[in-house]
Amino acid sequence: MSEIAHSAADDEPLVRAAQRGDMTAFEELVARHRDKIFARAYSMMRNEEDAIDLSQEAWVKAWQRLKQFQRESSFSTWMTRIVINLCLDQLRRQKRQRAESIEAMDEESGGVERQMPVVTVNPTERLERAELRARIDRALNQLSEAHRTVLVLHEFEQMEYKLIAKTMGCSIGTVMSRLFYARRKMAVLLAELKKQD
Amino acid sequence: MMNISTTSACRRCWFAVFASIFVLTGVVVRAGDLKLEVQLVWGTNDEKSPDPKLKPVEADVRKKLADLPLKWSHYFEVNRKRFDVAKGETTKAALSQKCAVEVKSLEGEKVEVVWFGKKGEVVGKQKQPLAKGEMLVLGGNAPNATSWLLILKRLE
Amino acid sequence: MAINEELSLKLQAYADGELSEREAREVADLLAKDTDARALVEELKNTCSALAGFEAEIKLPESREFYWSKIEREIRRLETSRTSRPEPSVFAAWRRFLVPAGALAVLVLAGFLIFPLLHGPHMAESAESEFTLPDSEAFTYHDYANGTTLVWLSYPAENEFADKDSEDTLD
Repeated sequence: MSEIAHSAADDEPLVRAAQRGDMTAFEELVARHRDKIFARAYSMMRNEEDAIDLSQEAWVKAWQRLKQFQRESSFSTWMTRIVINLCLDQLRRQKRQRAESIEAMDEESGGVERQMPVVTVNPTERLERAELRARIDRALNQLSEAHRTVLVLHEFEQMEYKLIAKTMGCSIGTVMSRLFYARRKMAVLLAELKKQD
Repeated sequence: MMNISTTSACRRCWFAVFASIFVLTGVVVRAGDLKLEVQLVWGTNDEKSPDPKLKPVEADVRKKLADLPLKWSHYFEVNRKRFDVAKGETTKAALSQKCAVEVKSLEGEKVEVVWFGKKGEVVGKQKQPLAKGEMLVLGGNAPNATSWLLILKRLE
Repeated sequence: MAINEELSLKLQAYADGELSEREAREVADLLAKDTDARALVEELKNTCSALAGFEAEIKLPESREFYWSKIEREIRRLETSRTSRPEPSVFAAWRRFLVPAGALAVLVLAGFLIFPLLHGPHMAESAESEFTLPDSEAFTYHDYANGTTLVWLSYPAENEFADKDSEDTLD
């Protein structure tokens, strides 16, 4: 079944039915939004198996919390927030604790990319969509988890700095530094991938 | 997706407690020489090295380098040496005519690493703990937008 | 004009629409005069547009039925275990508390006995660096997940593979 973009209004009858316990309606919501939820998990985890597991866990949690969905956002946004939080929890479990000061040191001193000149040629000009996607995929794999996460939350989830800071449990300054570093590194990686081809 | 019964959780809890004590005791008892490996590596964005004798670095090293803020996509091993450093002693290893490293084993897991340039001059010194399996990477620019890296890994 | 870190982040915030009106006007004035600042904002926007729509191409690699079957099974399992769980006895309630509390107490005791014998502070707290070449700068980066420390020297390239020093450096 091909995915069609469904508006929040389209989802509303299904959400209401699911909130009343109609699992068939919930299954339809899963079918409509499963690609998006999986894609978000995959962007963050960069591992297909983890992304599948976490996206399924998100759907189970959504079923359990459906009655708490108050329509402050669209159902789709509510779902992506659930899967993002699950991914963040998983990333934290996978990593050893890092002191905030070390993150700050990274941003203060900067990676070597900070010393790179600005990429003035748009590295994605004249690229086929599939080729661009493959390059972004490779470039995302080369970012650290912290930098990839802030990039995903800002560029894909369209979160503002303040909400990213709250979601990641860090200061707005750290969000801005990480985002800047991630974007600069992404630009350099995309430009270099173009040079290699 | 997992489901753990309460009984099973209790058993795992106690197992974890005794395992922790066992491991901690093992850590205290361990002593002796540092076993180290140092690699001289060339970082580049070229897929192939101009010198066919240079092989790409191992996958685990490549993965760890990829997680660092380094812009190169390919790393080739120029030379590798393994050596032991006794507690309180210093050992020097030359990786090339222009590059050498000296390691002193200090108290606990701490090491002092001195690296030397092509004229034998001291380029820098780094003092830090280095636990088993951890890596210290020293690097700098090389011509044609490439880099040199000295990768010091503690084996035991 | 040299762009320092503070200005870089401000330009980024401008590109992201995160500045107040007054600050946005100030940055717009700067961009009208400064080509370096304009180039940086352009690069940030290029990266943003490159990433737009990236996730739309990603498809779940499982069929609808198979994917849903696992979700449905887990939902039913959780609902069944919730309804079939017997009323916990008082003893069971205390045991749930006592087991982790006892485990914690044993670990703390072990820690007091064993940890003073260990040496070696964490790498981040005790790393010291010293560099002797003139005009050299260095920065240190710790990757705790992988147990890796990077010390990067920013000085003119020394060539391991040729004799002459190169003028073509990255800095």
